[in-house]
Amino acid sequence: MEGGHILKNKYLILKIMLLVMASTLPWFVNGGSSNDEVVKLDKNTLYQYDSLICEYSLSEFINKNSASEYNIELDKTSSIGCFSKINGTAQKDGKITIYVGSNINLDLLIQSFFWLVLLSLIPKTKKSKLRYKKTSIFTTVILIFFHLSSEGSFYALNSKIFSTDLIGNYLLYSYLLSLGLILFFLVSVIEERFFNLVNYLPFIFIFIGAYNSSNLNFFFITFILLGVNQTLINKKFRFGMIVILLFITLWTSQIIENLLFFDVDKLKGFSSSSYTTDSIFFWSLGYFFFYSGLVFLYRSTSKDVDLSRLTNNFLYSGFLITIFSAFSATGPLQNLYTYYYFGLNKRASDTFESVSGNAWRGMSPSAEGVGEFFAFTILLAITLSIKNKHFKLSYIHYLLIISNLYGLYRSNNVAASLSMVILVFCILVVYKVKTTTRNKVLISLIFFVIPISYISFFNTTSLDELNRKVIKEGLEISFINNLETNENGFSAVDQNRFLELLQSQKDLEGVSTSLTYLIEKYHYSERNNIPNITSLISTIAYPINRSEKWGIFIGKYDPSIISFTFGTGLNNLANYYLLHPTKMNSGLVLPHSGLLSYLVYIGAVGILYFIFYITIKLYKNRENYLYLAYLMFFLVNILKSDSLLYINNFILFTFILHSDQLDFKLSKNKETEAIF
Amino acid sequence: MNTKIIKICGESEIIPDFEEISNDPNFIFPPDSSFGTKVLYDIDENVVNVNSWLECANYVNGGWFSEISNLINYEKRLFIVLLGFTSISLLKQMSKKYGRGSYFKK
Repeated sequence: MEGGHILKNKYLILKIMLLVMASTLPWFVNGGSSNDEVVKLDKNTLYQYDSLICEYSLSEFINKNSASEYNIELDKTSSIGCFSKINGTAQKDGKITIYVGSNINLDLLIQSFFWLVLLSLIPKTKKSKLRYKKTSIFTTVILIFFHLSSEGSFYALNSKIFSTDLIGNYLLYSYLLSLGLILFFLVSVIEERFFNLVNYLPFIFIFIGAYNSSNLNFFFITFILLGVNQTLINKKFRFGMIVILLFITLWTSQIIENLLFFDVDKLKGFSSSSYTTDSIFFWSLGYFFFYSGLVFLYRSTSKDVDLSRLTNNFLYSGFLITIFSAFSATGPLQNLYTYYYFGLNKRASDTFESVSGNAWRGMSPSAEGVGEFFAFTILLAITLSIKNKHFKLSYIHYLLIISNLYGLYRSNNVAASLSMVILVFCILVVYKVKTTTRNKVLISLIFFVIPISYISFFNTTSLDELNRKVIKEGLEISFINNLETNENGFSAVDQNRFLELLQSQKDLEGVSTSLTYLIEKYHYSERNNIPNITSLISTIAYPINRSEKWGIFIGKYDPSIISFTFGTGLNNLANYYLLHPTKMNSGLVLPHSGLLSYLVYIGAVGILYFIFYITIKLYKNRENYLYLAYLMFFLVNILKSDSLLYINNFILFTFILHSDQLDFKLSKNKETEAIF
Repeated sequence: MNTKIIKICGESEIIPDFEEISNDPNFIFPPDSSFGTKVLYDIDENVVNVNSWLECANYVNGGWFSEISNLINYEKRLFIVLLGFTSISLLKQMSKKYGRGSYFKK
């Protein structure tokens, strides 16, 4: 394996200095023009700040107000001249918030520079020479221009002067030129480290790469570039592009109404904020190139993946996530820094207290998503050590595993924890128990006894109630207010008389097509001991605590036959979320299942193709137990979580999907790498 | 008092009623000989000379400013810098590429 540790990097000191400069200078250099002393902030001096907009820099403010109680928010619409300056104040619930200017062009430059320097810390390997570099860069820039023009409403909220006019629009010229320059340097950084990239993949859970004021992600753009490059070279990728273009034609032809703004919130950088022909084109084609770039990387570097180093990096990342999550909660400035420089989708939690469901997300956008990462990290470290006698866990490994366990505990992801424990047990049985019969008995116990006891333990409600749970949750958010009530004030819905609802065509306008279908199936199914589709979904949803979330999804999901069959376009939830009005059309309530999200994206045909593809993968790798364990871990978890909607979890899943090429049997020369 | 007004127009004992001024289209600002003429700008690059504290305060209250630096088109400047940087990078790459060949060796 060529290339050593990050700490052996040739220009380590210089690069660290560059990182320090990138994280301090923008907030210090742009000092205020005022000679007046900065006013100490309190409720009485608040109005003075409102009349001194763009006068004091953040550093000047912090020097004077280090002890004050305030929040710091970024004013994304600021001009370049007001970048990093105090741009306003507000008071809410007795707490003062100060607004610091940030700018779309400078964010792109500063954040990209920081991440490029970080990427350059990855040790060099033999060079991978990319062909058609300039064409790839140019195509990527054009694609991003499409993105900017298709999400005008999003960008108008992030810049006062944003426009896609081509004449005299220096904001746009600067943005696209910056992007071209960033990609130019990115290519040279990647070329020299290509065969080492996968080994450092776990760090994308710390450095997520979402831009502050753009609906873009650094790693999304990086892999789009690689994908474009490979499409220019490889026939198979070109064929894939033609297929996706055909789908795009179908998806765009299905647009009933252009939806110009959808608040992507924590999905920033990996989900469309509008539903128009251009946005479907960008996100679907962008997704294709992104995925192609990832596949190209995995296939080209499978022999160069050092599992020992990769595992160490997983453990380190888990440890660092815990540390930085805690750091983010210690103060407003720390919280701002982790958000900006780690490229978080949304601000880190500013408290150590758990919120809904007793989960603490820390600096991650989703507690569920990071919980899966922690659980997988532990699963990887333990199962590798079970399979390989060369991979021995040291005391430091154990300490890192404990820190990952703590992260898992705080994320409160029960499904990830349970699946991790069961799979570790399975691997233990497979590799440590010799008798074949005993293996079979144990695996049968795991696959039958555990699920049955889990369902019987958690299913505390009656079977009848269970069968209609999802319907009731779906109707809860539907607009069906004109139903008659009886003398006790109960409606047909309260009394489970859903058939009455179906017979009232007027009421059905407020009920989604998917919910209507499930109600019909529930009422008209034959009593033949075979569960109908509604009962099946309800029975699966209840023990995994998804009745409410899946009920909401069904209440909102209102597809036509064509959009159910083929979906509405990749990475675009706007149509699903906004077109059918429900009581749940504000705030971001996600489907809480990767399967359901992708049903929206690619429809039933896409889901069936995915199931077929996975089945083939599992069958081909039936003897590769570690691969089976890792893939099963993700398949079980994405069924009930939204993690595939987050770019880092998506990259991890695709890596596992293509890890069947990896040699999980570590040879002697690849034995446990020293942890330091 | 708005601190920006004090900063640009200076201190004054006048308590301005901006609402009254804006409601009266025929309002005339009486010139103040003790007030040195000030030049103010707005974001559309309009320029105005004000001859009294009240006139100055009224314009500043309406978003006008006194520093020419506020009129700088930063995007244009950034674009020029980036263009220069891109040209240098491309030239450097070209010299690397062709430097190895016969052209530069000649």
